[in-house]
Amino acid sequence: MPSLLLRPHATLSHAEALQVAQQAPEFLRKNPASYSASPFFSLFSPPESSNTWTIYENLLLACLRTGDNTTAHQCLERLVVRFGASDERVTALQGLVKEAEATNDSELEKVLKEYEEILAKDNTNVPISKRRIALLRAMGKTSESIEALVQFLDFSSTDAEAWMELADLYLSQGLYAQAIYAQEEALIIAPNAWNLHARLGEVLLMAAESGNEGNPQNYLAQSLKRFCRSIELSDDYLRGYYGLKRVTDKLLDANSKEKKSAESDEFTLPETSTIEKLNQAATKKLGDIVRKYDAKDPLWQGYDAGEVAAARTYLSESSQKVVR
Amino acid sequence: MSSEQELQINPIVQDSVAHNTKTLTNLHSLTASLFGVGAGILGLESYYGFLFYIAFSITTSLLFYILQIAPSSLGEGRAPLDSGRYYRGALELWTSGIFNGLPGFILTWTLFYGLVRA
Amino acid sequence: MLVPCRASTKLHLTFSPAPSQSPASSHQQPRSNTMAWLSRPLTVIGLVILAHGCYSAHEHTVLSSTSVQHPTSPSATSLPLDIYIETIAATLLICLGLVLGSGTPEPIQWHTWAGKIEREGDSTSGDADKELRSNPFNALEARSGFINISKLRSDFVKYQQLGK
Repeated sequence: MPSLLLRPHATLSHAEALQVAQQAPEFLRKNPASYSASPFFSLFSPPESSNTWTIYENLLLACLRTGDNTTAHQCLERLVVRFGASDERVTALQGLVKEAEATNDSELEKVLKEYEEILAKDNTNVPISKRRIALLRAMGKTSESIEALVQFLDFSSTDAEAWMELADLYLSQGLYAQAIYAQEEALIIAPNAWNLHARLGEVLLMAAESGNEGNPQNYLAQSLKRFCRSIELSDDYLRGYYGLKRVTDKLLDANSKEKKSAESDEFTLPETSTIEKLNQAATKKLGDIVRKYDAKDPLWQGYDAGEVAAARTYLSESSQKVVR
Repeated sequence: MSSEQELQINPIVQDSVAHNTKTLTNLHSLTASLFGVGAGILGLESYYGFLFYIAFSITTSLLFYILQIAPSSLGEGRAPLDSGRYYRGALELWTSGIFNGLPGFILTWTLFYGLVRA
Repeated sequence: MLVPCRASTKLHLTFSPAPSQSPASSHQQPRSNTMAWLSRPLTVIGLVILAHGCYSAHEHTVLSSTSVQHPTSPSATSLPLDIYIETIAATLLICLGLVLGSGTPEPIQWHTWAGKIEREGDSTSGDADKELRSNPFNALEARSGFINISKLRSDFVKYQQLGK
C-alpha cells in the first residue's frame, strides 16, 4: 500500500511501522541506486518523483524505529547519493541515524555537540536546529529545549510545525496559557487545518479541567468555538464531534449546577438552548459514525479504531447518565 | 456578506478545482477531435458540422454529469443538473468544454473530410 | 490525554477488505470504480467501428465517383444510411468510454473535501496513481522534524516483547 509509505512517519503505530520497514528491502531493490542526469538513461529507469524521496525518508525512519540499522544505512546512502552529504535535510537525517544508534547519554552528548558545531557555522540551518531541539527534549532538558525553540521561532516564525512542537512542550509542562498561544500562532499559519482547530479545542478543554489559571468558563467557551470551527471545516470529523460533545456536556452540567452567568468576558457563552442543540447534533453524528464504522460501510472506514472505540464508550456512558 | 468573508468561512480547495478543470478539459479535447472524425466521415458541411459538434459536446457533458457527478451530487441533496459540488460556476461544466474543443474539432473535421472525399 | 491521539499506542489496525455490498446511501466511489474497467474495451471497440465506417465512406465515394451510371448525382450527398448509423453509434460509444475513463472529480468545498478524507481515509485508495489521501495537516501534528527516535526505538522493543 503506497499510502502507508507516504504518511508522516510519526503518525504510524508500531505495527504499521513494522509493516513499512518490511517493505524497505523490496523498495530498495526496485529503485535504482542512483538516478542518472542524462535524458537517455532516464528513459530506462523507473520515474523519479518527489514521492520517491519522501518514501526513502519514511523508510529510513521506520527502519531505525524497528532496529534494522543496515537497511536504514542503505536508505541514507541513496539519499546522500542523490542530494549530497552537505544538504541540510540529509545532514539532519545523518544526525538522526547517529541518535538512534547511540546507546548511552555520552554518545547523545556527542551528537548534540556535532549539531552545535554545525549551527555555529550556520545558525539558520532549519533541520539541524529542529534536531537539536528534539534531542534536548529527548535528553530531558525541557527548559533548554523550549528556550532553543523560542529562539528558532524568532528567525523562522512561519513554521507551523515548530509552533506545534512549542505548544506540545508547554503542554507537557502544564503551561496551558503559553501552549494555547503557540497553538493559535500555528493556526494563523494554517487557518484551514481542521485537526489543529480540534487540537486547540482539546488543549483549551484540558486547561478548563485543570482549573489552575484563568476562568474555566472562558476556556470552555473558547474550546466550544474551536470544536465548532473544526467540524465546520470538515464534515463527519470524529475528533471534532467528540470534543464538541464533551464541551457541551460540561457546559450543560455547569449551567445546571450553578445558575450564575459568566462574567463579562471577551468570549461570551451562547444561549443554553444553542448549547443543547449542539450537544444533540454531536451525539447524533457520533452515533452515526460509530454505527457506520461498525457496519463496515466501505466509505466510512477511514477512522482510527481507537478513536471510534473512545467515542463508543463515551456515548454509552453519557446515555447511561441520561437514563439515571 | 462579502464574498471574501464567505471564502474565509467556507474555503475552496484549489487543488480540487484544478483537478476537476483538468479532467473536464482533457475529456473535451479528446472527444472534440473524435467528433471531428465523425463529422468528416459523414461529410458534413458548414452549419451542419457545427450543429453536430455542439449537440455531441452537450451529450458528453450530460454523460459526464450522469456518470461521474450525479451519484454523489444527488446524494448530497443537490438539485438535478447542479454541478456545485465539483465546479464553482454553474456554467463551467456545460459550456466551457465547447470552446475548449473547437480548434481540435475543426482540425480533424477538415482532415477527415479531405481524406474520405479525396 | 482526554482524547485519544493518533500517535498514541493503538493495537493492531489492519482493516479487512471492505465487503462488496454497499448500502443505498453510499456515494459514487465504488460504482465508478467498478465501471472504470469498461472504459478501455468500449473505447477500443468504438474506434474499430469508427475505422470501419471511415473506410466504408471512403470506398463509397471512390465507387460513386468512378461509376458512370449516375453522372447526375453529386458524390458527397448520398452516403448510405447504415454508414451514418455506424459512425454516430461508434462516436457515442467512444464518447461513453472516454467519459467512464475520465477521473472522478474531487469536491471543491473545503468541508466536503475534508469530510471525505476523514470518512474514507486512505483505506480506499489502493491504486498507486491516486495522490495522498490523508489529511495534509496531519504532518503538523506528527512533527516529523522533531521526531524522538530513541524513544520510539525503545517503545518498539517493548511492543515486540509484549507481542511475544
